[in-house]
Amino acid sequence: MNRLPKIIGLIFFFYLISQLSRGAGSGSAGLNYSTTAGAQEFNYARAFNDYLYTLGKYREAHREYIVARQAYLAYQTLTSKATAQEKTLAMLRARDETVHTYLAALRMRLAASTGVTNYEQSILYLRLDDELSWYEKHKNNLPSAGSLEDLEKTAEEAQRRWLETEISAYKTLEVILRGKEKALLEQMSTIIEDLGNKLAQIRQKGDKKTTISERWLLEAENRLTRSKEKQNESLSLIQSFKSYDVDKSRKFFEAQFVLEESHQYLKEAVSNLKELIREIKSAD
Amino acid sequence: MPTETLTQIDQEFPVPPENGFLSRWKTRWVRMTNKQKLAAILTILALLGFVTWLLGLKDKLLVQPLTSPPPALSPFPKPTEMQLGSPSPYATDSGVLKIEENLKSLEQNLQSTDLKESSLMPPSLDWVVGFEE
Repeated sequence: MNRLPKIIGLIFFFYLISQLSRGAGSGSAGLNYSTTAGAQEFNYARAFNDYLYTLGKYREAHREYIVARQAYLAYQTLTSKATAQEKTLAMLRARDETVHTYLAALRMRLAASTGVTNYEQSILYLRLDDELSWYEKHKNNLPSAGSLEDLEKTAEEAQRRWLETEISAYKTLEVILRGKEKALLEQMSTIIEDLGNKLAQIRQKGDKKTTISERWLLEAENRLTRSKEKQNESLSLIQSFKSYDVDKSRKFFEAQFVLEESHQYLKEAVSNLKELIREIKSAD
Repeated sequence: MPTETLTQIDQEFPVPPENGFLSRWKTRWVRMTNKQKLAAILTILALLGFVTWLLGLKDKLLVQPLTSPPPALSPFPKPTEMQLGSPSPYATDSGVLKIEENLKSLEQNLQSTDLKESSLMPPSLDWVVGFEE
């Protein structure tokens, strides 16, 4: 009888331990880009905040690197060299971390985008994951550089890699933007189809003239076609990227401008359809 | 005496001959009688009035009024003002109203879509690391 409270207490204690250890295990997912339940908590907003944070840390580390570099170049002492090496290492780590978090944010943004085909998304995921693991590995290898010269060589590897990474980033951005346009275009297509069916019904019934409405519908369809053409043009522009292109941003901005033109065509099509509806709702 | 004085002055400081356009008209004006001056002023005013009338007429002449009503089927129909006339049987049609609602939703989406994603542009980083001056 006296042992009963102790037994109950022990059972409750073991139960508590088991619950606590289960909770800790699920919370240690960290930056996981797979489709597990833990990764869903790591959303775009959080990924973007991580990127902004590491970018701030990089800028700080870069300032210190610049100061240490200048001091070493000026004094050429062993101490200044050691400091320069330390600050360069810190800067390179921060730089790799910045690229890593940037790519992670981009990946999350792609995952949340609309209008992107599964094929395009899969291809980009592969590219981004490849880049992510490269920068992670590069960051982990940095401490193994024993001298300033070794660090310079390691830094050059990242510089060469960035030429390809930039292309992946711009391609992902273009797909995200084009996906938005595509989703809007599909919405427009559905409305045009519905209106076409409605006009066919009205024409069959014969209680209202549909000639002017049909001309508005034709105008809207033409605008839709132009919008699609602009989206294809944007894709062609971004596919022409080469790693040796000096100003990749200029090509991206060209593609972005073309998508804005596509957007404008959709807006004009909306005006046409509003006139069409007004015509349908008004007496002859 | 004044004449002699004036003659002497003329000889010392000869007046240049009046051969400019304005100078000629100035001279004529001075020689005109009051009646002639009045007639000239009235003529100028009449001319100005005629030119003003002509300019007004020119604007009216350039805009040709339509002799016949515009064709019902123009290549690109122009947007019309809000019809205040009677509604058609389809003004309250549920299908039409549903489509109209979808169109409004699309319009709002078009207005709010961000086609820049500026915050996700690749970061500007210093890729050159070297210790040579």
